[in-house]
Amino acid sequence: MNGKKIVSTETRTMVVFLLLLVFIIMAFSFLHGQFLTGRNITTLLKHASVSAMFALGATFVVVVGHFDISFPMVSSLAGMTTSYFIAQDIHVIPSIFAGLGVGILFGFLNGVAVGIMKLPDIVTTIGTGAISWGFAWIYSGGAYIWENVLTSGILELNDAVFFRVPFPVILMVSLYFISFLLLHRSRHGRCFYATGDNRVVAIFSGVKIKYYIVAAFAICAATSSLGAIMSNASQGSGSVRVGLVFLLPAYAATFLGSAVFRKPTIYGTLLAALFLATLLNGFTLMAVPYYYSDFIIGMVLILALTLSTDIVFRKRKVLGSSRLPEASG
Amino acid sequence: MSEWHSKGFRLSRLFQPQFGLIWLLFAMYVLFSITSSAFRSPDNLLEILRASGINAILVLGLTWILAVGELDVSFADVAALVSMITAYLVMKSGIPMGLAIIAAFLAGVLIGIINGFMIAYMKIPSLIATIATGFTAKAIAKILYEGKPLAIVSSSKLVYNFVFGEILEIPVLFLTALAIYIFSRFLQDQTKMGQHLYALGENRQAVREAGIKEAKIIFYYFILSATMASIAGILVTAQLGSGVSEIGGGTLMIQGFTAVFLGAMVIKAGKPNVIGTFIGVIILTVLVNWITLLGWPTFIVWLTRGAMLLVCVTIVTALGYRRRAWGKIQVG
Repeated sequence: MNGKKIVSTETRTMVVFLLLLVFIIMAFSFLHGQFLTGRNITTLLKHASVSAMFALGATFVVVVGHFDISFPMVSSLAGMTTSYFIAQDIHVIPSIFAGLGVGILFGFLNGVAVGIMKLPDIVTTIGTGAISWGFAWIYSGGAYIWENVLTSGILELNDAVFFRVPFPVILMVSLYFISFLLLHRSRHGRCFYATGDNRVVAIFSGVKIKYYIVAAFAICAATSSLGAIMSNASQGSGSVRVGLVFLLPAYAATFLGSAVFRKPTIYGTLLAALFLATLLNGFTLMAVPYYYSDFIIGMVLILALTLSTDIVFRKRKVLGSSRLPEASG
Repeated sequence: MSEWHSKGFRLSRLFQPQFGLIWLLFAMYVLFSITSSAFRSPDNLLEILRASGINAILVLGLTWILAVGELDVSFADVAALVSMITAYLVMKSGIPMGLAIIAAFLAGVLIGIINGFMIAYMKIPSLIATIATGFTAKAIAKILYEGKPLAIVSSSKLVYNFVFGEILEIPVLFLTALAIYIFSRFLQDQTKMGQHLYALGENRQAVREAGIKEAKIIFYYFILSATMASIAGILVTAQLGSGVSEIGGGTLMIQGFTAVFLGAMVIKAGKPNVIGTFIGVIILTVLVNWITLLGWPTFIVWLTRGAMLLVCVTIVTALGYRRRAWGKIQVG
């Protein structure tokens, strides 16, 4: 296969996926008159932006052939840190950076444990997740933090509008664009994929796989922390459980995207995240209670996995094992 | 694993490092008993044994799934689903307790079959498959009664007697769990099943080329895990007297993994094994019980559990690597 052919296949897949998205939008707008109103689309896009942020980080970790279970809890810690700093009357910008810093620190630790100490990824991240979740409780004993939220300006993270486009959407799109350039249009992107696809070949090609694994875990923690801070801003309070609900949607978007595009990609994740958000928004409009959402996403994910299994996972069997492949041996 | 039987039992063996966890448990128990009068009361001891009985039954399947090198994060959600279905069928559909339990149990096993099929035959990574089924199971449990716990008011004492019964002042539940674990240890160490189990964990390729039906074995382990989780779900329902869609506030999954990896440090250094898991479960239950009795905040429990899991994983990985190095020396 030459390069041109791959591109054309991907473009075709993308068009088919977009058509599916349009079909769902049409179906919902037919079923419910409120669906295509500007107000609902803004809500939809804001919600999609937050869950897409979580999915973006998960995509990086999946690309290097690992899993991270800790990001929901690490991002909760980051969100709580930011809210706590704001409650202490510290300016909003340093507060956000403090939250991001704590999140990235945990991501970095995950990366060091998995990439350099070669610990099994999933079990290690369950451990770091439990620790960060424990820290998240320290600030307020698990209670919501809402002091100074209204006056500090953190709400602008959710409410600001530029050229009629909500700020969360701008933030999400620009981060996806940067990630797209990094992963699909740069040398480093090739190294990320090489680390995940064939570690032995990557090492012998001179790829410093350790650094790429650490980077992937750190990016995952960073984007999910930002997502948690945005989610807190939209709720108007710092919640200790903010990140927990995003574990399933993030992996669902990543794997739905990789099921459609046959490998984890930035555009696949973005389209899948939009798809899932549209689905949930439509069902919410039709008065389906909130606790159905995990059921819907879970069924979509199972369906996607079932339909795509042979294509996606044949060469990536290593993912299923909790052990690292012995690349250095 | 043959060391246990070939040399016979000598008292000095009890002081070998591989029994460290048993001594840790013993030391913890003595220390906590001395410092806390609430801890050493007979009622609390019964409570610890009962709780460890249920937890032990819950994580038996997980032990072997981790031993073959796969993962299951859905077991806690399967228990929650079974719990809610039992309560729903008894209270909302008016089905007799016995039938409701059987129906709920079958629903739990069905999740195991789906897991096993996706992972063993369709080669989907076990984490993502069990995340999908686990969250779906939990969502169904919440849908049944809007996410609230559903109290069971029933004259049937079917499971209740089993959960709260005692023989010689030891909870039946604990004795049952002990019996199941001793039987599992026999399966694990003295049968072909156990040989296949650890062979799969060591070298999947070699197992496949030896003509062992690898997929079938993994399929059955996922069904076993869901089965044990379903039994635990029924027991929890009886213990609490209500169906709950979030058992232990979502802490069961981490507790299970910590117990298995605590256990993997001893008996068979570097490999998850049932006796180790059993001791690990008791240690965690004792620790959580003690922290709760002291009145410390919840996050201390999380911090300790997470730290313990990390330490255990590091040690187990180190042991595993050392074992592999020895193997190379012997071969070369």
